[in-house]
This record gives sequence, structure tokens and C-alpha cells, in this order.
Amino acid sequence: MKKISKIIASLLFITSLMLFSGCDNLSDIPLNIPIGVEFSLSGNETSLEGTTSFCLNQYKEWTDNKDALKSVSFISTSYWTKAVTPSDLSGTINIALKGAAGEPIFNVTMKDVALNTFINKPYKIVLTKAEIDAFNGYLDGIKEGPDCTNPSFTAEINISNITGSTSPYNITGKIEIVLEAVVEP
Amino acid sequence: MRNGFLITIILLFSVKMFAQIGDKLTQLPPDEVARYVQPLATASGTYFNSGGYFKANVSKGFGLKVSIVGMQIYIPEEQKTFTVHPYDGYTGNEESATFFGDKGAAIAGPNGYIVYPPGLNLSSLPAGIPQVAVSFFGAEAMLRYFPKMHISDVDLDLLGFGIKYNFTGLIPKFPVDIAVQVLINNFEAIHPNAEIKTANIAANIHASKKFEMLILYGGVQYEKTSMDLNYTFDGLGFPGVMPNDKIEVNVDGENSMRFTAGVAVELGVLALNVDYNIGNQNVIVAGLNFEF
Repeated sequence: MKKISKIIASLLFITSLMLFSGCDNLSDIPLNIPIGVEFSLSGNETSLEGTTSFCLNQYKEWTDNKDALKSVSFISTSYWTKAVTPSDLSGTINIALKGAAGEPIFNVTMKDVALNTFINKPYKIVLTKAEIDAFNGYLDGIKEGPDCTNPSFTAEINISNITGSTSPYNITGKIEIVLEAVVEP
Repeated sequence: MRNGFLITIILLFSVKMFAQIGDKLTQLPPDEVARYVQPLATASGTYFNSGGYFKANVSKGFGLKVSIVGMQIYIPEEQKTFTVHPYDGYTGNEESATFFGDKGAAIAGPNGYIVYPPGLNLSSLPAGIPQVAVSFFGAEAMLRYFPKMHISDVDLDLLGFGIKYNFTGLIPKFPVDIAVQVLINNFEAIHPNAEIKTANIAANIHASKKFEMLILYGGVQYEKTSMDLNYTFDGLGFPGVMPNDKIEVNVDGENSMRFTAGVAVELGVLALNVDYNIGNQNVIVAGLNFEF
């Protein structure tokens, strides 16, 4: 019986080795990280604009993974209206994303749109290949400090040709950018 | 060697990157979680329902068999992605990784992007399992057991057993040994934030023919696997699902039938076997067996 118990113990040991023999061949993990930027515009004029600056380090999922980061690239971006008054407000929306030195990354215009169209419904922003290349090139060289004193990105939002039944006009919106961060397992 | 079935479960819960996969998973609506883990449920069944036999003959007296079973499970390419459907009315047809796939999708939903987790990007999965069997009067009882383990906040528990009966003696002059077997295996992995439980049952009929030291064997097996996944939803909310809701997802594996063909060599108390199994996920099984 003693011999049998040794065999059983050996088998359990070998099995354990098979089960727990490392995971060094696991592939890098491509994580999609959403970067959300909100803005609020209000006024009586027929043209309203706002600017929001931000760093990737402001986003927990980015900071959680940046030490294991191998590469980062642009995946997708969309616009949502969160709230708008009056509800029949319409206008031409222009969204421009720029780098730290003001270099353009992308610029998109939605002409004469009813802003409530994009409540609970995204407007998918389609970038040109040149814009995607510029974005990825900018991401390749990005270096951020922990305190975001020199923001990496500036989003400029301009709504022009505004018409609506009543004023003042109030618009809250959101842009989300999804980046793919390839990280070590 | 890449990770095995149990280690993938541990990694899912414990290693930082895999914890982040888990984070993304718990932000998805339950139906999407089910689609993501379904190939894992199938792999669970493929794993637990493999290696039950290498011959139909069972000792008529008392016998003891101690085995270590190793295997390589092959994940079909079509089980590495699924078509997303994050909410009612969604009309897109994007693909996203399953547990074994590569890249997760990012879908622009009503309130923001719905980000799907990536997979482990595995095409095959090695695994092993120990088992002990006792036989008497043409019947065999098999036990699979792993002592309860606590690894990185994960409690693992495995208990499986099988019963086999060789009814060759009931059919006079039948040219091969023939037996039926039932296997039942239950496994659970419990983490403070999530639980995975699988229940596996298989029934097979198998036959073997011995040529001196060589045994040729084969069989057909029906099997069923169910996986229960419990977690706390921490996404933005979907119709019928709110943040902090306790979610229970039940997934049936796609494994149902498998066909096995193999060969074994008996060298005194030692028997080595290898077989190939064709099913929803194909698997090569190798066994090292000591018979007394």
C-alpha cells in the first residue's frame, strides 16, 4: 500500500506540473480603452464653442495598463448629445482634436443636424486614413507626466448656424475615442 | 507549455491582465457573456469527458488502476469569435473575441462605447487530470479528485467519478470486448467577485481488442456540459440589467457526441495509451496507467 501511495503522490505531482507549468507563451493582450470627453456649451448666440484639454493619464484604465504597454493605436470615435435645450435646436457641429502643440489630429463637421438626433444614438466619426495615421503617429510618441500639466490632447467643439425655438441654447455632449492598447500579459 | 484548463480559470481571476478581461466581461449584458464563455464551457466538457477508457476489458477479480491523463484540446477557428448583439434593436454585425479569441470589439451604444474583452488567443489548450479506478466482477468505478486548493484568492474544487461495466461475457463468442461507461465530473472555481461552476456528464459505449501487448480501442460517447457563471454586473446598465445586479449566466457546452479511436500498449503493470477524439472540439489524449 505504501508503494501505491507513492505512485499516486508522484502522479499528482506530475499532473500538477502539467497544469501549472507556466504561461510564458501567452500572447500580448489587445485591450480596448475608451477615452471619454464631455463638454457643455450655453449662450444666446448662433455660434457657440468650447475647448477641453485632457491627458490619457486622467483615465484609470490607461494608467492601470501603461506600464505594460507595448503599442497603442486608434480604433474608433463617436459623438453623443447628452442633453439639449431647446429640444428642436439644430446647427452645424465641428469637432477638432489637436495634439499638445496644436497639431491637428482629426477634424469633422456635421452640417445642419438636429442635436437631439444623437441622444442615445451615436454619430460615428469616420476618420480618413491620413487622420488615422496622424493619430497613431502621435500616440506612438506620446509622453505624459502624472499631473497633466501639459495636456496631450485638446478637443475643440464649435456649433454654428444655431437655430432653435427659444434661447438661451444649452448643449451637453460627449466624444468617446477608443484606443487599442496592446499590453504584456 | 501553455496553460491548461484549470490554469486558465485561475488566470481569468487572478493575474492582473486577466482580471481586466474579467472587468470588461462583467460590464457586458448576460447574453453577451454567455456567447463569450461558450467555447470555454465546451472546452470544459471536452476536458472532463476525455480519457475515461483505453480498453473495454475489466478485471473479473479485484483490480486497481492509477492513471495520469494528458491531453491537447484543439479550439476550432470559428469558436474564437462571435457576432455581437449588445442590445435589442442593434443592427450591426461586428465580430468579437470569445475566451479563446484575440481582439474584442468596441461598439458605439446608446450611452457610450460598449467595450468587449479580448480573449487569450489560444488555438489549443493542454491539460491533465489524475484518476484512480478500482474494478471488481467486471465493473469499474473511477474517481477523479483534486484536493481543494486556494490559489490567488481562487478556491478550486474538482470531483469526478465514473462507472463502467464490461458486458462482453453476456454475448457469447463476441470478437471484441465491449463496455458501457458513465462519467460525471463537477468543477468549481470561486473568487470573491465571481464563481464558475461546471457540471459534465458523459455516457459511452466502447470496444477494444487485444493483440498480445497491443490494444486497439474505440468508442462513441454522448456528453453534456453546463457552466454557471455568477458575477456582479458593473457596466453602464442595459434594459433589465442595472449596475451591481447579481448576474447568473448559464451556458451549455456545444459538445454532444464524440468518436474515439486509440491504441494502447501494456507492459506489465504499465499501460500507455493515446487516442484521438472527434467532436465539437477535437482532442488528443495520452495516458500513463499503472494497473495492479
